[in-house]
Amino acid sequence: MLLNRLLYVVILTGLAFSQYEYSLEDVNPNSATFGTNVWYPDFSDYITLHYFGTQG
Amino acid sequence: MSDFQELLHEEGYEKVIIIGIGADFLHDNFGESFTEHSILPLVLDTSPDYINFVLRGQFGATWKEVVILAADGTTILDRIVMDFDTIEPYEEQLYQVIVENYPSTSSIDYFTQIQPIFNANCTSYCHTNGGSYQGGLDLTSYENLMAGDSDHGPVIIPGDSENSILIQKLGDEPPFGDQMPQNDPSYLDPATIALITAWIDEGALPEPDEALPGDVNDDGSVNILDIVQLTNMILSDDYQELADLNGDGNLNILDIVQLVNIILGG
Repeated sequence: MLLNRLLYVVILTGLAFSQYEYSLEDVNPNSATFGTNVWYPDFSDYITLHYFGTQG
Repeated sequence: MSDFQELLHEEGYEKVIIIGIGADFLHDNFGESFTEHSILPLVLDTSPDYINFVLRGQFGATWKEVVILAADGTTILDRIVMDFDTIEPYEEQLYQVIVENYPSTSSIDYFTQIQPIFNANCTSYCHTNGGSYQGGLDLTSYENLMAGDSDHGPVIIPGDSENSILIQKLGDEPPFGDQMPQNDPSYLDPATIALITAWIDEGALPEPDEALPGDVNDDGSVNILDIVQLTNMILSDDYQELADLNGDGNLNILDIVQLVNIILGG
């Protein structure tokens, strides 16, 4: 139980202090990379706009 | 044309990506609003709540907020809390943040970005070998493209994509003949046409136009006319990065001194 809690804290701490990375599909049909997975850090020299929406 | 399209087409900001973080319905409101107005990539991270919670904590983000990160992925340039789920009311604000904080990328390169489009879609059978098969229009090189065809002459008017035959023929209402490339679904996608359009509007150059230091009036040479232009900018409080020769964020006498030194130094 204690180990699980510790593991959870370690994972969350790691996420909190690591750089955000992703491999996500480009969903803009007007984009040249539409339908393909867009990677960070491949896009590491891109400016990024992170939109945090209301969560459902 | 929206601000986001201007960002890409007129300012040369190719390296911008937006990441929607949160629930699936992002695509139905914010996502659709964005894709209507931009050809920049959009990805949606619908990770579980606990992951998104950590991400919000990482950026200190509130609900319905855009956090704009620099190219290093960590420096926060700005943040905009939004009252709406659509991006439209905030386009101008986001546009300004990017323009003020991020240098635009170089112009579109014909050799690596435009010619490959023709190679993949136009030159296999038709527009090659002098273009004899299709009205004399040969698309195998920059020189041949700019020469145009035997019936119409130039098919590209540098700086004027709207009146360039090439763009007109790629659209669904060509002024003559069929839409190109022939036979749907081989028609070019909107993003590809937009790239060619932007290249023409930039001047249809064979290579990206490298700014000449001190060429304040952008006439290709550095001389007394640039000093006049710079003086006018200073007097009218018209800041332009091109004229900020010492890069201190201001246009003043120090920039004139630097410009004079450039001219005297040849």
